[in-house]
Amino acid sequence: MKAGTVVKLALAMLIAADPTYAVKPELFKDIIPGTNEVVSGKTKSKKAYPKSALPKEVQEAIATGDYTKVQETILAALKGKNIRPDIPEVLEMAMLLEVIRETDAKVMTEFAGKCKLRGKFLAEFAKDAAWQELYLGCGLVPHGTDVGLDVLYRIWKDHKGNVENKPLAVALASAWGGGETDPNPREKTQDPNKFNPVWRYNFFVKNAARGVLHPNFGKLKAWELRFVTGNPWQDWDDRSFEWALENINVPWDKFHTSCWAATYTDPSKFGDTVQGGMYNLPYSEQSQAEACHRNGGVCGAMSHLGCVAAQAHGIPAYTVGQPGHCAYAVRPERGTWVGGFGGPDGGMHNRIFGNQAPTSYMLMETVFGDDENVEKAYRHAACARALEATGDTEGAIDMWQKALQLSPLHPFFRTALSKQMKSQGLTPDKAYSYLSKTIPHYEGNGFAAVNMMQDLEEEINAMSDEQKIKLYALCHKMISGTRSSWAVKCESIIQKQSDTLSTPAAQEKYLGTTLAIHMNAKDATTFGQLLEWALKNYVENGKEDVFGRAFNTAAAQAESNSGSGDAKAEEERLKKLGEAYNKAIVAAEQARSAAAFVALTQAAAKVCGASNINIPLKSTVPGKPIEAAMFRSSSTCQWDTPRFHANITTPKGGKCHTDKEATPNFVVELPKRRFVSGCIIRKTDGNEGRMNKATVYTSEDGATWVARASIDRMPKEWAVSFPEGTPAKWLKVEFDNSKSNDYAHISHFVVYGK
Amino acid sequence: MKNILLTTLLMPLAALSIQAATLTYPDVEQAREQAKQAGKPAVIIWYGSDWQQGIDAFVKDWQAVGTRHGNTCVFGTFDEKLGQERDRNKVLPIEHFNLPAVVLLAPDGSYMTELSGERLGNAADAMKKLTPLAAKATEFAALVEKARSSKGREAVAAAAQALAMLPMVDAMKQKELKKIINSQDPNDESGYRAQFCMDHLDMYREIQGILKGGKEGKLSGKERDFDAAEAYVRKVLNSRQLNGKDRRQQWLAGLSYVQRERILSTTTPQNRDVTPLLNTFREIVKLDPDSQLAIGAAKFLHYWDPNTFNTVKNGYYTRGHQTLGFEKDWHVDVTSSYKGPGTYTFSLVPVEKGNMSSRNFRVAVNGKVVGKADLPEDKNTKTVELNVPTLPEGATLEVWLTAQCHDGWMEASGFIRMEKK
Repeated sequence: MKAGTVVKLALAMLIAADPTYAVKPELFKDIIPGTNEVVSGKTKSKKAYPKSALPKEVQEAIATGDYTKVQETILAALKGKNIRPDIPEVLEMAMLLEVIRETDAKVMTEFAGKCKLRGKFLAEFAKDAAWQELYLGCGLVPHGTDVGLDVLYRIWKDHKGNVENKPLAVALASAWGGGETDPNPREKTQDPNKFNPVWRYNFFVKNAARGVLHPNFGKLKAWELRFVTGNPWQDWDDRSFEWALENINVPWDKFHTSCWAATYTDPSKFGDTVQGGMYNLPYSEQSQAEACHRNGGVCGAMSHLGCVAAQAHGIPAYTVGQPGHCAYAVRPERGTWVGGFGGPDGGMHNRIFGNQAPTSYMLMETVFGDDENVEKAYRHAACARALEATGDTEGAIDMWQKALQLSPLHPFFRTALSKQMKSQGLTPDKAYSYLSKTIPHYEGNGFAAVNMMQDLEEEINAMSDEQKIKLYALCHKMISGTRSSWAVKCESIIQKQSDTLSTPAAQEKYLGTTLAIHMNAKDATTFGQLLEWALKNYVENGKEDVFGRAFNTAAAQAESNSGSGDAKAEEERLKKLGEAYNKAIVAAEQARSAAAFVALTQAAAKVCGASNINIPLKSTVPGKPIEAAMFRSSSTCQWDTPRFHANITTPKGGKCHTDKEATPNFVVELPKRRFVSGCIIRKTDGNEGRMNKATVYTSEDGATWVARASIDRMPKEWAVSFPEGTPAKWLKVEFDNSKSNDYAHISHFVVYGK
Repeated sequence: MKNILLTTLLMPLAALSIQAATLTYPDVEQAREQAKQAGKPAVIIWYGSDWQQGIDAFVKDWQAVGTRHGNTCVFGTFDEKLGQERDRNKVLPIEHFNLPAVVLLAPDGSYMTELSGERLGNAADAMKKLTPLAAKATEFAALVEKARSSKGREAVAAAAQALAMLPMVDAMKQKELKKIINSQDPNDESGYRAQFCMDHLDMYREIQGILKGGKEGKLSGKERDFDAAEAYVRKVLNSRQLNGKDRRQQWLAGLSYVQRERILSTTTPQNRDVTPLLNTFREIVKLDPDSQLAIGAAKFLHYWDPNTFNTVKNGYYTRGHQTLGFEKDWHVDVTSSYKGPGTYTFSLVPVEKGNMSSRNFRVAVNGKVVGKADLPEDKNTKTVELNVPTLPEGATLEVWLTAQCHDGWMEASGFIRMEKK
């Protein structure tokens, strides 16, 4: 036996002795005798990065494979040195130090000791600062685990030391290894035969070379590629990617519709309900994408299909959990997430900064959107960590601040800075000053500001009520300029902030201030949620006077001209109050808050006068009118009267007017799912010609709509009867104004049931 | 100077290379109109000139085919470009998510069939596949017209005749003809409703209704009317109209559902006779072994057959290995973990929350049991010690065990470990 073969066998035995990989020969087939040739370990590729500037002693420590020693050697080498990112030698040491901190020196040493090839890989990686920079800057860095490095190693080994697409390899390492804030080392939980990062790496490299991926694929950074390589949570198998690439092909900008390549079906073709394991059992041998496409699925499988179809074509995407529903989102262009099947909001199955969309992806796009500065910020961050490790807290604080000047919203950097400031004894006054200067950076990312403030919760609690209200107002100002969604639950934020205030008067002031801020916000969702919270906490608890005062103060603040005292002024005040209620009702609709919708409609009727509309319907459908829980329209405009929206669902009628839209629509929500027998929709008087082609839909989950009736020229009053046993909780009428892009306005949308 | 000259010369070439190739055929509306005038079928090529891979070759190919078949068909295009807000249904009667595709319309504009993906192939192959159906397009259109303009049995017969001319997958997409049959023969006296109009959702709705005892019925569990449901499905299966393989498969799947529900509700694993159920699955497979329903039926056949066992080969067990509510043997291949004779620890290491029991662990070499765990056979455990003898060269080492899943989601999964002590 040749000496080389003996070494190979010894290596194979070492690997086989590794309990983590017992009975997974496919991962090591290249070093198991009798299968493939042993990888020589020689890198035939050209050196992609300049020669390492690491000091000789550090390089020698790396050669030992003892990363505790490497860590100590670096710290000794940094002693007395000016730790700055513009000194290559120092930066390189800081980078490696950070990789060791994230991974854990012991974990790295054990990893290097598993076999010579792993040791060799790790040494090569440790001397490749550019690769480490990619690894540390990909968003989530695998923390306290070797899973990320293992993914890189396997790709490196599969490509004989020549990793052509390092950002892609790093993205896979991040997706497989998780991060400190989102630990999910997938390798420990998934079937390695079906979920293999090396397979995925090869899939994308091969298909990029074939030219069949999205034209932007080659420009994607590691953090973006993370959203291409699969979903860390609830992923689909490798074969699904291959299948979807070949079998789902639509224009690049239509992948948000690709979920419909499958048929929505429950039960399955064998009669099994989706609420059980039998539904998928007959096709458990097929790839999940093929099984779904050929045999159908419901929202979960179909959203995954749409997501995987986009990802397989090199388009970032994620699936997202919603209450009773699953959806997805795709990103055809940087910064633009487009929802599919009711996405993009909800709990993301792939994320960097928390799982809540849209907050998470908006922050991510802001932080990473500035390529140049975020790269520099990460270099400063590595130096800040090195300064922390050398015990120079003041230097570290200064360096974190520099990193944050470059990337002001980076949440991990903010947390690190807060931690260091706290260790130096941060007073409430200093914290107030720091937050007053920091919060205004969060324009467009207000909810991220709330998360940032959590790091200094103790200090905030110790501030005066006045300071707190000022900070909260600043924070809500940022929130009011931020796109929100039903998925972002603001009530808990409001409750928590209100609870920190020491007196009812301060709480009332806080309520009035926040109502005033949100009343004029473009996105009224938060206003709606705030109203719902206020109704629950004040009106339902017998404190309607407090709510009334706060609301009226807010309305006055929002319209500062009001309040001169005479009759005309009173009329003006009521008008403005009516407008405030209108905004509030639209907000309640956007927030999907039935309770707020009803309460505000009733309050508005009391304060501003009830509707005097009474237009009897001429047509009939079987059954009796059903009382609706709420009503909403796709948009509003100056001719709308949201105070009278609720009346639309009654036989008396009301008034609702959308803005100019291609597909204006109106939705009635019933208190619960039930069988419906029909509905009557009536246009308001005048300009009836704006609305012609119309479709009525029903839905049981608020996201999956079934077309029940369509008409090309809708009459003034359209009565639709449904087949017996038509279930619905939501009903929608949608006008096809795609040619005219015109308004829609109705007086009635009455639903009937037996 | 040289550079300027070169740039000037290359500029028109560069401009040419970025211009996407497009087909010169008329759009769908015009093609429909021309087809109507000429009494010919229309072949609509649905593609994306500005994003589709290999567009130049595709266009060249289809342009050439159009010249060859121009006498028999009218060619049209639907160019689905990027950034185009277009409701596909307004243009074509079907939705599609695997472009390019080719759609065949009858002279009256009625949808007949489509080819895409692997079925599409190159243009010449596609035309070869479309030609036989295109030859019947005029007849198809006449039948559609007859179905539209007549009533009762005559309308139903015309609609059914038209549907029978199409591949079943396309027949099931014919909303208008199906509507005619449904409205003119609501009680399915002709048998064509079951044949053409009831997809699996309609079928199960009907079956569920019968199982619970009719419209107002509230039967549940073992009280359900399995006899009536089975009689209904068998009546459809015995109808002479139900002659398509895939339609028979669907209704046989419906029969298997009634049989399964009856077995699960009225028997225990010890006293059940699954022979009729297995026969139904076998019939589905036999009709068309490559079809999706056959693939599913084959899996169910294996699942329900008491004489089969599951093989676990790759060190990971998952949903596909589970049986819910009854036991089945697993043969777990652990050959790659063999490191000479001795005592080994064999473990099932769960990673999903699914509830599963496992017992009766045995060692098998080349398919023969050579030893067993020193535990009572009914002891439920996930880790056992096993003595493994010396393996002959090239032998297969397996651990056999008896397992059963206990949760409805069948989510039990995990790693297999076999380590020498």
